[in-house]
Amino acid sequence: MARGSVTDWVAEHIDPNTGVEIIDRTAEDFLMVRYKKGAVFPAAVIGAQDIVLPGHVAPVLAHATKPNFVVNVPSKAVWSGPAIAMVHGAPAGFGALGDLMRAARDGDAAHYRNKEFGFFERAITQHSNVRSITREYDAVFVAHRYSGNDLVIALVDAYNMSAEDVRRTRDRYGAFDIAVKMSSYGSVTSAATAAADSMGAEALMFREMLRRLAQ
Amino acid sequence: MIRERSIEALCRVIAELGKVAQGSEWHLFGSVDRDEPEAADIDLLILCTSDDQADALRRGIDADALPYPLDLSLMTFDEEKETGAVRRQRARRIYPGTGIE
Repeated sequence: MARGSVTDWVAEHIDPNTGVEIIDRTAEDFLMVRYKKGAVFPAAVIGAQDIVLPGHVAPVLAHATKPNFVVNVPSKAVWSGPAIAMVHGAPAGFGALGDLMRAARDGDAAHYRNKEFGFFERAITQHSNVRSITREYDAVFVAHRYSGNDLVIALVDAYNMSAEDVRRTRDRYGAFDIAVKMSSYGSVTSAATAAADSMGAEALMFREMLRRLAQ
Repeated sequence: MIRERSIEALCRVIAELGKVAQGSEWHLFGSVDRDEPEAADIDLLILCTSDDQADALRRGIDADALPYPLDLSLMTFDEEKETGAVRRQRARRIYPGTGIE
């Protein structure tokens, strides 16, 4: 998909019936987004196919006018930690089309953060056995521990974590030590546990992850 | 309106998938299923006959071909039996039963 067309694609996929609308397009090819007659903000669209790297976001952040949000198409691409840090430093929010819609509704797109990611980042960082963390990808953190090896933790956004969730997480992000379910409701299926075990990893609920970090 | 539009788009996806989708069940839940005007994502749970089918459906479904962002969960029928996901998430079946099978 060419760069111009990904911006067209986002513009075409925003349904004004949802309250979010595109009211203009700037010389930088940013979309001017508004939610229900509220404040208007610029959003840049990029088209990294697999992994969003700093080289993909740097050009849209280099303009005098900074976007408040950076959208990547396709949605299946993962965001690397350094690209996220660069976007947050602008400051701007990041994500796929669904995140742009949520950011518009939140009313502060530049500081939009996925609440669940933020919760887990804080919980891992504040664990008594964790010295520091590194964000590898949007949903993958490495916990550097005082006692014990580093642990690669992948966040799985599922009400019930299935074996397919575990396999997909490995396919998207590579090897991990722990796949943790983000929702406190639901469960981890026995097939998901077995799938993680077959990879030499664990599929855990939040509290189980905290206990694992201590071991 | 959002629900109807989403189901129409999902039916096209099912038709394009052909045999890959055979035997699976597709359930809609969340804000799109409730037809909330400001729904942000299509929450879709697909029950599969096997791991291979789950992986094939994940590969075969282009989320960006749908009118709204897709939040897709795939699990086997055995996993659904274990978790009661359809009932707990108040999901409603849209396939089979949409008339395209």
